[in-house]
Amino acid sequence: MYRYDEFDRRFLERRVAQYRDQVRRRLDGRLSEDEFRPLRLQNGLYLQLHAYMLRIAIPYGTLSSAKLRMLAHVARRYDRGYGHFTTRQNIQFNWIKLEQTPDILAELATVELHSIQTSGNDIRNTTADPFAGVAADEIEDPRPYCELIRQWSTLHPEFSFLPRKFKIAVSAAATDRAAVRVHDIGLYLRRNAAGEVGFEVLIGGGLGRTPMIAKTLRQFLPKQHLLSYLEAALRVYNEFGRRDNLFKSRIKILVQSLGIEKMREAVEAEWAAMDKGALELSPEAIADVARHFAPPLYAPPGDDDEESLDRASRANPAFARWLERNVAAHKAPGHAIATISLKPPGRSPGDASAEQMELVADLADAYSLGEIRVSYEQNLVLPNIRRAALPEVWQRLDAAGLGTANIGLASDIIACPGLDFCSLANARSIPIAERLSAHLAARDREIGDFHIKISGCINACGHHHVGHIGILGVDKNGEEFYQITIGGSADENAALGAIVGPAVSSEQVTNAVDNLIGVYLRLRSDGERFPDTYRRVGLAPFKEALYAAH
Amino acid sequence: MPHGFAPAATPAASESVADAIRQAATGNRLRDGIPVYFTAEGAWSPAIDDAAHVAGAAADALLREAQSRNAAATPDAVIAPYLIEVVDAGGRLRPVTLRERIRAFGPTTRRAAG
Repeated sequence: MYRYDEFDRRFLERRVAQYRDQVRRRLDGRLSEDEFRPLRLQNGLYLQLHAYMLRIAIPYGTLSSAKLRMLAHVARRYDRGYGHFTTRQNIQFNWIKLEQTPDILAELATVELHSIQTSGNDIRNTTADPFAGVAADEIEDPRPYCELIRQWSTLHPEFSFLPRKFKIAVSAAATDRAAVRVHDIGLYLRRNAAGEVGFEVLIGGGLGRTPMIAKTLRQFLPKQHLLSYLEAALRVYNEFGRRDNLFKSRIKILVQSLGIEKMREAVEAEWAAMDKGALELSPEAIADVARHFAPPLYAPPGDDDEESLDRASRANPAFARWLERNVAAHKAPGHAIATISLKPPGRSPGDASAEQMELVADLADAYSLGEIRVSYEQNLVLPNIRRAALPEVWQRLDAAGLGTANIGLASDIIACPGLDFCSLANARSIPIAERLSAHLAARDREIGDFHIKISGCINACGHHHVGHIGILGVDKNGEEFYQITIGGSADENAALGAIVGPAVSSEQVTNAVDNLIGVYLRLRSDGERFPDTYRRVGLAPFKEALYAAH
Repeated sequence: MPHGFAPAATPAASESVADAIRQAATGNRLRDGIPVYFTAEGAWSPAIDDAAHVAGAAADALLREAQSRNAAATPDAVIAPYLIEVVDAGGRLRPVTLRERIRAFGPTTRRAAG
């Protein structure tokens, strides 16, 4: 993976020293809260219900074992022994003390981690397919481009005070595992008719108060133009995005009001006129970054690898289930990608204890060439496991409560922190997720692929708009109610869910979800996934089932 | 179950719900962000049961007093104090809103319950 050079390291050291002085001046009163708040937000530090929350960037969801061990150390020394992986492939700690944050950032800097641009009206962490670089269905590793975007966007002098936050996601595979179509800018690496690899550039996607699916801005952009084209798009947004209304300030609103044709004209005109200069990426510049992501030398498969795996699978049904659900095809023969579920039924989605993080780091060193990934679905990934080693890996994971075989199933729920932690929330999300996952776990295999996503407020950090079933917590006269949507999807066939009916009470949520799943099971054709059933039968049978139950 | 999440005590027959509601001042402590409550002694306590609580027009004066106690900027300063509604639930103070109950008593997740 990318390693900092001396310039990067000194930059981080100076940044930490600057922040340490800012905290000192806040604590002794020389800075007021109004003066200090933007400074702490620029270092990813929020004030939430119970304490400060620190959001640490995990660039394109890629971690080394050393980085993960440092996150475990932060959890243990500065927090309450655990961390929360987010829907932007970052990690959050909920119990941070302001007075300790300079020390935390100094320790993170020793392993090339930071919290810069995890808040504020700037370009946030660029997220990517968690299987980047190893997926069997990928045309090229997108991570060098993610790294180029990261370098370009960090402390960009023109884009540090945008109308609002800006989020970019990248995928290079047939299956979109990065929710590209619901980002401000989404990038698909594609091969054109001439066999050249470049980008389809999408713009104006997003969730929140006004969810939208991104539209294609440019069907095919040659690689060398990636940064200059992004620069042009951001310039148009920076100039014309609304700053008068917080709820209309994202680029999706600009795209909607202009229309995609006029937006395209504006970006292309800006791009044509600009001095692209150093922003153009020569093959050498791309190769210089790409060498950090060169595929390792994978050991060839052993002659009886598959037989031993088969024996292990037949001997242990629990392992067989994990193999079936959590393990994906790798581009190197004899290897596999293992997703570690952070969704044990009945527990907070996306949380990992310090001990669990350390175990995953150890497994990464022993079995995965030292690398771990974070998925936006709040799970971890070991991307480089020899297939013959999968049984041992699973046994060690299972012993630590990390062996749940539910990836992509109903109990693999995405949930934001919600009102239990977040100052923006209107209702709790985690207890709903805990109850639902415990209730549905026994039926996971019967139901099949199913995505439930829960947000505690309209900001939609839990991605409820793109859940097969989405659940949005609302406050009705001081009581928690939950609005249910259905038919959303975050993959390459992205769709926004439709509201089924009036919000239901907290006590009614489990029943409501049961009823909706019941309709699906009753109406689905053989092997039909939920989105296909929904598209075929429409909203009516689901609406009727929910109303009929109440 | 922490007392904050138990059903509220029913007001006595002689008093309305509105009469039972009082106001307390709270904020987050600067150095560590924890919720704290303004006490009758003019200090800030992390325990809601220590909070001074008043009715009606006295609430504004309580808030002004709480804000004035932050004039000296120190690590124990409290960020942006504000008023919350509380009821006396069998001798223990309980915030009226769920959000403030979570602030006072902690998250309601299974991890928090242990």
